Amino acid sequence: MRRTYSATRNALLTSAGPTWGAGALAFAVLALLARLIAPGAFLYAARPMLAIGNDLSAAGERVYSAFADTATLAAKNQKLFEENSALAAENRALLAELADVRGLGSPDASAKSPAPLIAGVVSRPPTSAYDTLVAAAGRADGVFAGMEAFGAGGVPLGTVSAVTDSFSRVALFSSPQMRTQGWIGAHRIPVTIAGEGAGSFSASVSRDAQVAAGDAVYVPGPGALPIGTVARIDGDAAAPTETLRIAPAVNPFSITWVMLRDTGATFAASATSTP
Amino acid sequence: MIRGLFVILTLASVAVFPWPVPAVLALSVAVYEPLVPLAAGLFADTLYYAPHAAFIPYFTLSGLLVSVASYLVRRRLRAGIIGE
Repeated sequence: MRRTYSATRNALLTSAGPTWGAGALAFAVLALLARLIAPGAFLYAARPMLAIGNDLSAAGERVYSAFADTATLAAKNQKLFEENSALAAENRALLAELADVRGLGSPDASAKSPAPLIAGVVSRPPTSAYDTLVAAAGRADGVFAGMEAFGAGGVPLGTVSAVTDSFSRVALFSSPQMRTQGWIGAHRIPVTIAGEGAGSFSASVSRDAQVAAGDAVYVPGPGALPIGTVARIDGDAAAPTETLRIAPAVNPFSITWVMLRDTGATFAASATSTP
Repeated sequence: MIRGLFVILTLASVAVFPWPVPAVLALSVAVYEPLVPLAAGLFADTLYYAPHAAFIPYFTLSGLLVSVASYLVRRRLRAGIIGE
């Protein structure tokens, strides 16, 4: 009887000698070993490729935005300009007020708080999966696991989850497994903010909470720090709860630097220092 | 040689493109090289996996599943038809 397939032949290896697939797997295993044994050197070696990824994603975003409707873009630009002017004025007023408050308090109070670190971003979403950042600052710069990362305007982004001598990995609050305690709106409704990937979040609240689209979402830091705004509310009218879709305050796809600071309110005890 | 080029492109795309691009490439190459999805998934987790961002390395597991599926398909079909 004629056989329809060869039982003696390994279907994973397509020819008698080494295959491209086996070579690819060997390369991946070597890369994994390099990360486990020498994580710092591994990130140094991978950095040029990751930089190309950042450049390509930025270029892709520019091309994509070029196809957008120009009238919509102009309206959006005008709105952003007005918001920016208002925020700049508000910021100046707040800074003046802060200077007054500091003048009243102890002069040593601000000196005791450690200075934040500014770190460049080597890898970021969407190239970086899991919504993680690789920051170009590590143990040698004073970074340790559990520090909090902030973006432009002091927006909280995530926490440092692993550190090498020269690099650190930041798990963003929008990572799929991250759960962050925070609150919503002027009434400070407490919620658990769940990461949804690609910078977005979700939260579940009671229908009686009367949360509306556009409400700000805050997390604790030094004070209440805005992390995003409610973009959409989903849910069945008969259900007792509704799901909030939250847009991030900072687009993770365009983060080029982060500020790392110890807030003392993170998961330092469970975070790892390597790799 | 073309096959090798696609394998290299798949691995390189893990580092420079968002994950759907290497995923599509790995699925395409899996027809001829069943180990490539596993390799691409492992490489993606090696580059990007961070503690607290995910409980398990999803890309390695997904790659493993696709590789096993590809292996089973190849086993059921005549090996001479695919890849030679």
